[in-house]
Amino acid sequence: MVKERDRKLEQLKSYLSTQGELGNILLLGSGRRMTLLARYLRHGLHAGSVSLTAQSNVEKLGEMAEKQCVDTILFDSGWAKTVRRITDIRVCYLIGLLYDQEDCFGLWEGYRERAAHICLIREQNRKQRDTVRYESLIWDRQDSPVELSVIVPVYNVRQYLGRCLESLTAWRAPYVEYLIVDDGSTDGSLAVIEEYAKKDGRIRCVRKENGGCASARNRGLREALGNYVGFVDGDDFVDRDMFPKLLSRAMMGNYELAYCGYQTYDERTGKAVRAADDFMEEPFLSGTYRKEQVQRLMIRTRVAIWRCIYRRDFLLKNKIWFHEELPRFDDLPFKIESGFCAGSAVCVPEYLYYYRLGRDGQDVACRDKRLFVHFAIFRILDRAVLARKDRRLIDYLQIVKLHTHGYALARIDRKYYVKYLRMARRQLDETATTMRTLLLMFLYGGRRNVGWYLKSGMGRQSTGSALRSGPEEKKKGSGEQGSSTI
Amino acid sequence: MNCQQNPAITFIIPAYNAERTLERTLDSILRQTDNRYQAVVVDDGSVDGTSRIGQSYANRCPQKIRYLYQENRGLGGARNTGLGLVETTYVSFLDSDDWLMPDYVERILGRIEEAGERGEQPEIIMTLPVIWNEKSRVAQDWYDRELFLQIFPRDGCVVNPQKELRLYQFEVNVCRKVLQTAFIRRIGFAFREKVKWEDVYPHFYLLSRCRRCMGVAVGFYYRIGSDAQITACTGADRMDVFPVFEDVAALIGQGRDELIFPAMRMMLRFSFWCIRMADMETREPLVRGLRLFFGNLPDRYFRILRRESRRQYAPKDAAQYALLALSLRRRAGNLVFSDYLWQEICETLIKKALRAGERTA
Repeated sequence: MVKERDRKLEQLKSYLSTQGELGNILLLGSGRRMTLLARYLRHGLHAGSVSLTAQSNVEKLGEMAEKQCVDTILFDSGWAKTVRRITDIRVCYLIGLLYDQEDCFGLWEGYRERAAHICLIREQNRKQRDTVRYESLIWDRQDSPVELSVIVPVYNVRQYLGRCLESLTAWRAPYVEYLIVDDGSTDGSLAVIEEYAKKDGRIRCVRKENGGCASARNRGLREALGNYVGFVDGDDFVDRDMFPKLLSRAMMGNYELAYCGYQTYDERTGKAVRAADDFMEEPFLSGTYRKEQVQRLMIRTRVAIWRCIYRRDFLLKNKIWFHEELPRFDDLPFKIESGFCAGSAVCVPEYLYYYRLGRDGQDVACRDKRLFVHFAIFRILDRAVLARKDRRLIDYLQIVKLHTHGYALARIDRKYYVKYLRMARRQLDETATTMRTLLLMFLYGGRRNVGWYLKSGMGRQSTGSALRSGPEEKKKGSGEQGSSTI
Repeated sequence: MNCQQNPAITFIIPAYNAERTLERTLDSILRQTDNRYQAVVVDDGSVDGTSRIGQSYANRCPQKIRYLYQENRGLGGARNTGLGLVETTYVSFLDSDDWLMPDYVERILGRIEEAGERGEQPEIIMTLPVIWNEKSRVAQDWYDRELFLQIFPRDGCVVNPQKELRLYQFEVNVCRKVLQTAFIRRIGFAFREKVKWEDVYPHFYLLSRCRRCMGVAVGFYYRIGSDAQITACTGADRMDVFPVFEDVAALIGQGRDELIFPAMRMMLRFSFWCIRMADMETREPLVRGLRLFFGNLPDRYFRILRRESRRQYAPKDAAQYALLALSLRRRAGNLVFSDYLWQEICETLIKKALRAGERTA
């Protein structure tokens, strides 16, 4: 009933209604939509002269714009290429419509220094439902030119740091900053950072006393200027395209969170393997603005906070920081808190981050009582989630607990197994009954945790007799679990 | 420009701690292509910069914008205060985080004049807002856009709500209605104060008294996706649905049988939505209250709901209404609503069953 043509006009009008004076307007395009828009703008009170043209010669357009002192360029679908080729012209507003395949981010890149406000509205054809949706890139120039801050916490990773920084700086964009936070390294990592900082002005080296990974990331977050922030570990490296792709996808649609896939890079063999935990499917490919879907995503993916970029104002508004009181795994609560607060997410369906495994002294390799930190983590998360009084979130957190404890039990040393199991069960019982937990496992995934969960229940009633046989039985299971967990 | 003409429409803008959005609202009014308007900002006891903004706009354009402050009385109270001050022939409400399309006044007054020449001064003008999603920053269709364009295929159509009953199925939002001042004074209309959801009852009350309702496809921008809205609250405020529902039930109990179906439909949808939004603590008392409320309604209402929904909707939707009504009224049905998890499981099962039914059919 309502024609798509009118919907496009509606989108433009909506944006225009939120803005102030547009000054002299140059309208690029032809056809009914632009004629209607020209009439609308001429009639309104907040425009100067309005000239409509279908001139596609770029030089003539440039001349025209200069002669008429154009403040606003407004263009129709299909004109993005022409507009991009206009050089040497500064405007206040760049507003336009784009077809599905047209390059939005390139246009923004070309005009970010020449326009104070940019609004690009692109139609998104969704095949499965045969519908059209609109996404917008709405941007106002800020005081700082930085759009993205990549935060790299560094602690004694000198031999890997070179590759990390090389891979990051391969992207030459001027609107990114690399915040390398040296957490009091003792192996000369600092010298490496300073060497790179000399070569590349976008690298900012931040030195601090040793205080743990969480404190280094927080420091980076405090110093960051970009609208978006990303985290890269100092011993990992990225694909050259990772951050441009994430940033362009996130900006188109104002997403609070954008993520891509990652590969595990084996230190010893030098082979990279795509991680199975990718979740590159709808609705995240088109992007979602529904909280429940983002929350559901969080319980199905692994911690991997470095595969995402986050909108900084969203982190600040929800007061999401890394917990410095935790000695390790501070990324788990960060992931859950950000994921449970986020209202939108989008996925880039490529494997662009390389996660290094097999290096000495990695926290993820620990098998001893250091794993008990999980209980502290979930105490923090329980408190945060219970305050929101949302039963759904409590249940989702229960699933995360099950996954995490299951993962820990699969790798923990035998002598700690019984103690960990008992504590895990006690913590799980605080937020849901046995029946509910089992039901959740079947509904939301995590069925492979049923085994140890039921076993822990038996132990509870008959004071640990069943538990004592735990480690032996576990061996068999740990083989399967171990291979699929990492 | 019609600078010298008398104002014909007044916008009442209740503002409570609205410093972040009020400027956009007032700017959109001052930028109207037609000057025959006034605006009253009723500051409902704000403690932030609202008074400063309101005051400065009132000083800048004293003929156009009035500002007044009162102790907090809630949205309904603030609107009532504004209503008392109206001197123009038409009045409209605008929330402090929404804003107008630039040709709003021009198009509405133009259509009113045309209708006036035909001798059918409209008592209510329905407008067609556009949703502005703050999260995705794009515009979306208003909830009942399709229906609106069916009932009012062109601007300025006038229909009688007592004959065109589909009008009652519109979104209850009061800001999308422009009201004739004489009409609301005649029927003695005022908002109920100190309750949330004060839009619901007036929607039915105003339409049930109205004889001439006009549609104009221009409107305001309705902002969604910010967490500060009333509609986003999850706590005890949800319980305010009961006084509102009681009012609606009293209205349809006055022998207005034609109102039964739209009112029942709205209340069921509203209940369902409230249950979904309610937090853990509110959910149970809310469901219990709804069971008592719907249990007290005469069975006749539910028969009418079943009959009419079967007549007007696809069998699938009709079945959903029937099921919803049944489960809300029965104690056993309440179990389903007591926890989101049971509700989700039931919904999945029902959807599967319906889909299987469709396939065999």
